[in-house]
Amino acid sequence: MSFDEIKELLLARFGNDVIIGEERNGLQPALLIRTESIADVCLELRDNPSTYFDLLNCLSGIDYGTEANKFGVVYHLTSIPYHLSITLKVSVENNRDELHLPAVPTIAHVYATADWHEREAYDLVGIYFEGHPDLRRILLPDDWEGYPLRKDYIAAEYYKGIKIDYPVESNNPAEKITYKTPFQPNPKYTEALKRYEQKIADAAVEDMVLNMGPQHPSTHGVLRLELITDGEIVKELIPHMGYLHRCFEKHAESLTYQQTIPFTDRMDYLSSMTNAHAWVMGVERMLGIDQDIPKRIEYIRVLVSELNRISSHLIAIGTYGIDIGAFTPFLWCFRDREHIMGMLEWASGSRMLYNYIWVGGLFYDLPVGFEERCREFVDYFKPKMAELNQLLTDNQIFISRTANVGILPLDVAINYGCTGPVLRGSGLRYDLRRIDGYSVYPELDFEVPIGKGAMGTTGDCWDRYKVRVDEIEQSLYIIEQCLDRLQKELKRTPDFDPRAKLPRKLTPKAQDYYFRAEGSKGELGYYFIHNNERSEVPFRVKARGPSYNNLSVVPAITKGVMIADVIAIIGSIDFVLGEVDR
Amino acid sequence: MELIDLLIKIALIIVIFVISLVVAMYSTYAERKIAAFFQDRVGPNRAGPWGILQPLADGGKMFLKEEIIPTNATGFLFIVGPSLAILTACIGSAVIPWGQNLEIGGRVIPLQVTDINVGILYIFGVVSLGVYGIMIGGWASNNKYSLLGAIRAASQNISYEISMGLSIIALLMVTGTLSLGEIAKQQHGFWADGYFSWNVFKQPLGFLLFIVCAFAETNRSPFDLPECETELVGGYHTEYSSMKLGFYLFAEYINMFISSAVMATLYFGGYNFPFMDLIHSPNLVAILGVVALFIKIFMFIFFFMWVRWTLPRFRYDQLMDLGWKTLIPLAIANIVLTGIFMTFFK
Amino acid sequence: MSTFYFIAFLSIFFSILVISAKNPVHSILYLVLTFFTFTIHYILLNAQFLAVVNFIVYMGAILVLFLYTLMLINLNKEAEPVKPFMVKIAAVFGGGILAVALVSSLKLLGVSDPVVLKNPDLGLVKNLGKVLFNEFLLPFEISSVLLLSAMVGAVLLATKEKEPKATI
Repeated sequence: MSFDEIKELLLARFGNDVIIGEERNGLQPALLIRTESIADVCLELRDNPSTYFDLLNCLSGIDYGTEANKFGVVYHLTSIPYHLSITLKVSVENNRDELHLPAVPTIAHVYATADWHEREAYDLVGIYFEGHPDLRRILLPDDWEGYPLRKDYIAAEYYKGIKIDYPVESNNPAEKITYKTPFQPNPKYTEALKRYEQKIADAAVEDMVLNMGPQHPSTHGVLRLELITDGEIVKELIPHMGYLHRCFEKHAESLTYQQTIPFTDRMDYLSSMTNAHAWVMGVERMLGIDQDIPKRIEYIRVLVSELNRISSHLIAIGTYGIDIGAFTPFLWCFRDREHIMGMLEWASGSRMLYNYIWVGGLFYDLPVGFEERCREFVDYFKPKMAELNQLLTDNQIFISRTANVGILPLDVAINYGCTGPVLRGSGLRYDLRRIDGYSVYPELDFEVPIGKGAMGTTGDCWDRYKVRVDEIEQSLYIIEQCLDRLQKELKRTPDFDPRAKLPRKLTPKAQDYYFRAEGSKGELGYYFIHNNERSEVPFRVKARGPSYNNLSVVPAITKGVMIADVIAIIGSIDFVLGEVDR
Repeated sequence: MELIDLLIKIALIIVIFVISLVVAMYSTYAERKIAAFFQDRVGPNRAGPWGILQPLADGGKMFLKEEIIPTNATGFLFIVGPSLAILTACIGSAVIPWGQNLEIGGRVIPLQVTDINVGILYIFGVVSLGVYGIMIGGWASNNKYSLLGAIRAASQNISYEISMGLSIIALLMVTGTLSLGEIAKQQHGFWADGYFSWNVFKQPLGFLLFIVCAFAETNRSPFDLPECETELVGGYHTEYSSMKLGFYLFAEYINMFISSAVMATLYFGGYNFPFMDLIHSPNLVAILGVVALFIKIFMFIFFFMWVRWTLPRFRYDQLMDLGWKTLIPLAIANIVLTGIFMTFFK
Repeated sequence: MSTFYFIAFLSIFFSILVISAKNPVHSILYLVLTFFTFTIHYILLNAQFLAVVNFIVYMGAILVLFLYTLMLINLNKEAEPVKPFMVKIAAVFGGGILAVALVSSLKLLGVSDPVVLKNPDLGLVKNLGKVLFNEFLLPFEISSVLLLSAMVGAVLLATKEKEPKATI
């Protein structure tokens, strides 16, 4: 179904005034929807048998600038059955008075993904979503003042009476003079916070409120989970995050595209290559140079990304072992990961945050002998995986701890926007490397492993774990194919320069573009808005971290489980807090 | 009792006490080295050659660390907890026969502190007391994780004591005595009257049940739920620091040593070893017997560690299911089978 | 004898502490100590088996369960319920009956032999077993049936009706 047919469908269903405009000039056409009917439109698109837009990829709140006095929300929808994508936009006028935030109807009841995305938009851009069940701040502290991603935001000088010591003196005079005075926000905006506080206070009387994290060994970083438990049974789980929030999006809109690459590394810091790869591909497509990239460069990118994917999955498997109580697999995984780290360090000079993939090329060609060493690693690593499977995957205690635990049904997974191994663990063969076929993946042969419920029910923790184990195998296969090409027809030549195609100026045309790629944890998306043809700095960037969406499903599948199962479930989701908090 | 006898007893007690502590100390070292071996690492190698001074360094660290007693903890009980844990761990060794009697200068020196006629039950009592250290410490910490750990410890210990007791009853039917010294004596040599003399060959299922319960009673992996790090941070010892924490950890290793000794004595012939009748010097037999017992103990300790670094951990309800729905019926079946066997084949 | 009096004093002392302790967990711990002194009494009577069984069953299991329950309830001073007037009346009544029973039993008290057993081996496992399984076989078996029925009853009480499983 084409863009026009979808438009016709909506017009026929809701009348002529539902669509107030359309944008066709960019790479991705968008429909401008009347603000009041966005929820109905989304529901219709989701449930109509000829569209089935069942996945909300990304929801971005946008401040269109101080002159425009306009705020907008952009929805990227995907129809998994029909392989369709569409962009919807709504916008509201607002005079930036903090007592009257721009208001947009919520779509959290249509897509559960939207719950956290709307909270994020409220938190960072200050858009109020009417009817949202729990509109509290999510990444920033509850008592934060202002909305950092607004264009008129001024960094606070004091936080709770403590002077904030900025490392670099700002060269923007506006930032030096303003003192923010505490203000009384509209009670409507703190209503959800009060409701939440009341809930915790009530729960503390009848049940036990157990605070897990941010310093807890198995929350995999600085995640804080508030558990309302009845003895060992968890009644409700409330995640709190933001302890690692750096506001990547603020960085991205202050720096050029090239300068932002190191910051993408720090999002999912366990798989920096795939992050940078996605970013770079997005920028290249906006520039229109994605077809000019030499094949050798693309193959090297895929090679290092897959190596990085293996190392990321190794951590997922190893730490999952620890969560279940098996310590030895963890160190085996780290031992093998060390080889990958060594190789990537050899190529890029850095062990975790590589900054290796650049727009239009690479930081440097692979070092001489890399391919041989990589092949040695593959040969060494295959038996090690078999050994690991014997120790952990097929262990009876491990199976009884993970099978039939934390079952994530497919419809719930899609509704919560889960992607990557979490979605595949629920039994859907959905891998963007195959679906979108970006880079040189169409030329490569690999399987997409899915959860089959071999030990219990499809979508349980064991399935998610097993998908990662199988993906390591497939990644090894991809690496072997890349090495074949790189050692034969795409062999290193003396005059090969990986920086030859680097553009002088990274100035794309004014457009907005959502690019998604398969990161180690799932669909990693970047939504770029570029409005100044002469600037190298994007107007707005929204990063859709797969971990953020995968984590949002945890409260839904931890009702009524035991505390030990909570650990098993959050371990099987495999999130990285650097990406959740960004 | 003569003074010299009293002195000998005191010396024996001190020697056993010191040996328990040294074995426990070096168990920590062995655990690290064994873990390192399983995990393709080197393990501690900085303190002394091959890191053999590591336990001393650890001990020094434990003593020098800051003592923290949380403000809202119950101060006195907070200290009683680890003290009880180490106390109950240490007193278990009193009834274990470490070897045959030595004869020096016409004086018979028994290598057992006391051979009370309810030795096995004494061990049992001590084990069942061990949970108080954990419960009191966990409760006094005034921390939810500690409380959960304490509760888990209590229910786990009580549940597994039952199957442990039932598995021992079958053994008692075979041996006909509750005295550990007597049981060790019965398993003389290795082969007697056309069958193995060690109890493990007479009670294989009982031994299996006993060792599983021993893992649970010492809170060792895969039954280390009371202190499991990934769920309860540190379990009952979350709030502990310094040597009070050290006591808890130490108690675990001493418990492991004592339960290995008990298992060796009850099922693996204690100080007996094959072909001991070929040696005619009784003193040499006694000394070799002590060596044999310690070899068996170290094998068991290695087994404890081997399991810990191989297996994942059970979940709380699975642990209870295993205890109540598998081990107890098996133990009862073992008693019935033993009874039938003794009635018809005696 | 002096050991006996010392231990007897400790028993009474700790049992008074049990009822006077403010914190229920503390009073359970005093109860543990009280039972420990009982164990010593048994040893003094040369009843080793009873001593150890008292140790294992009462100190090692039953009181652990008491402690377990109290920890779960987590009573503190504020949560202590106010006792209604009727309960106080009932307590006074019960206490009065206890006093009457004590006085009447003390009236019947005769001077017994000093604590010296006529057969010092009576408490040993072998003799105890012979007595239990010959003379007192029927009461023994009946009490085991009683325990079994109590256990079944406890299980029945504890089994709740299955709640419908939470759906996502």
